[in-house]
Amino acid sequence: MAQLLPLLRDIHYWLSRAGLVIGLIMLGIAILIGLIRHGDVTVLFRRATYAVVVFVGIECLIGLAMYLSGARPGEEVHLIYGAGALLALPFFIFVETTAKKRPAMGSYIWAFTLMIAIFVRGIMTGAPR
Amino acid sequence: MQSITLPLILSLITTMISGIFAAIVLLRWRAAVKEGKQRPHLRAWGIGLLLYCLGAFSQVVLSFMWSQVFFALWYWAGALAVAPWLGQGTVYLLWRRGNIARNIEMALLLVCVMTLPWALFLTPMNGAAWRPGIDMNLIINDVMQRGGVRAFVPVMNVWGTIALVGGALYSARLFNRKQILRSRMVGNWLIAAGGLLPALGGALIRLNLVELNYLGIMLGVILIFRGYLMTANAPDEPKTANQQRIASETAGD
Repeated sequence: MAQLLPLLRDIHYWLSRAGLVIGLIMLGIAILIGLIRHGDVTVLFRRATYAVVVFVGIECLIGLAMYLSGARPGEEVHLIYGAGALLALPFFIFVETTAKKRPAMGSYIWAFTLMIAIFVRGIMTGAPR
Repeated sequence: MQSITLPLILSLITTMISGIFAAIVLLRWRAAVKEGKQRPHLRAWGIGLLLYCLGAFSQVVLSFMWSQVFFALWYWAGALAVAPWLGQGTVYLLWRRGNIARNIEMALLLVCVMTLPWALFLTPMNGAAWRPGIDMNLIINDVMQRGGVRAFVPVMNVWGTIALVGGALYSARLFNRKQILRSRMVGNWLIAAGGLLPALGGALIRLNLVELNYLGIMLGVILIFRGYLMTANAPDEPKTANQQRIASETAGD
C-alpha cells in the first residue's frame, strides 16, 4: 500500500478539485431549475446527485486508504471535513425525497452549497504543512 | 464539602429541571407521532432541552473533577448546540413555507455531527488551568485555543437566539395585536425572556458576576418551561376562524 501512496495522493488531490467544480456546476443547475425556473427536481438531476454521492464516497475511501498507509493530512480536522462532505448530500437527499411540499429543489441548493464549503475547508486543511 | 458551591447547586437544579422538561416535551412528541401527527418542533425542542441538561450536568461533573470528555461535552452542548436546537423548534412553528425548516434542521444536524467529534477528539485542552469549583467560563481561554471548533459558536448562538427569542416575541406580538389567547401571549414573553437570560451570560462574566451567570442559565430554563406550559395548555380558545389559524400557527402543543 505504501508504494501506492504517491498515486493515491495524486488521485485524492485531483478528485477533490474535480469535486469542487462538479459541486459548483450542480449548484448552478439547482439554482437555475429551482430559483429561476421555479421547477421541481428532475429524475436526471436526482440521478446526477446520487452519482456525486458515489464520487465523494470514492474520494473518502481513497483518503481512508492513504490514512491507513500512514499518510497524514496537514490538520487532523481534515478527517472531520471528509466525513462532513460525505454526509452533506445524503442528509438533504432525505429531505427532498420525503418532502410533501413541492417543489423541493431548495434542498439541493442547501446540499451543494454546504458540500462546496466543506470541500473548500477540506482542501485548505488537507495539504501537509 | 468545600466544593459544594452556589454555582454547583444552581447547576444541579438546572440539570434536573431541563431533564424533566426534555422528558415532558419528548413524550409529548412521541405521543403525537403515535397518533400520526407530525410535531417536528417538539422533537427539536426536546433535543435542545436534552443538550441543555447535558451541558448543565457536565458543569456539575466539572465542579468536582477534571475531565476532557465532560469539558468538550459542556462546551459542545452548552455553548454550541443548545441555542440553535431550541431556535429550530420555533423555526418549525413559524417558517412553514416549503421545506425551509427541514433544510435548516439538516444543516444544523450536519454541523452538530461534525463538531461533536471535533470537540471530543481533535481539540487540544489544557487541564492544568482547572481547579475544583472554578467557573468553566473563566478558564475557557486557558483550556481551549481560540479558533477551531470555537469558530462555530458565534454563528450558532446568534442564529439560535434570534430564532428562539425573535420567534417568541413575534408570536407574543401577534397574540397581543389580535387580542386573543392572553396566556399564550404571556407564555411567549416568558420564553423570550428565558432565551435571553443564558445569552447574557458572557456580559455577566465580563462584569465579574459569575454566579449570576449560573443563575441566568437556571432561570432561563425555568422561564422557558413556564412559558411552554402556558402556551401548550392555553385554556382560552380562539373564537373566529382567523383567530384559530393564528393560534394553530404559533401553538407550542
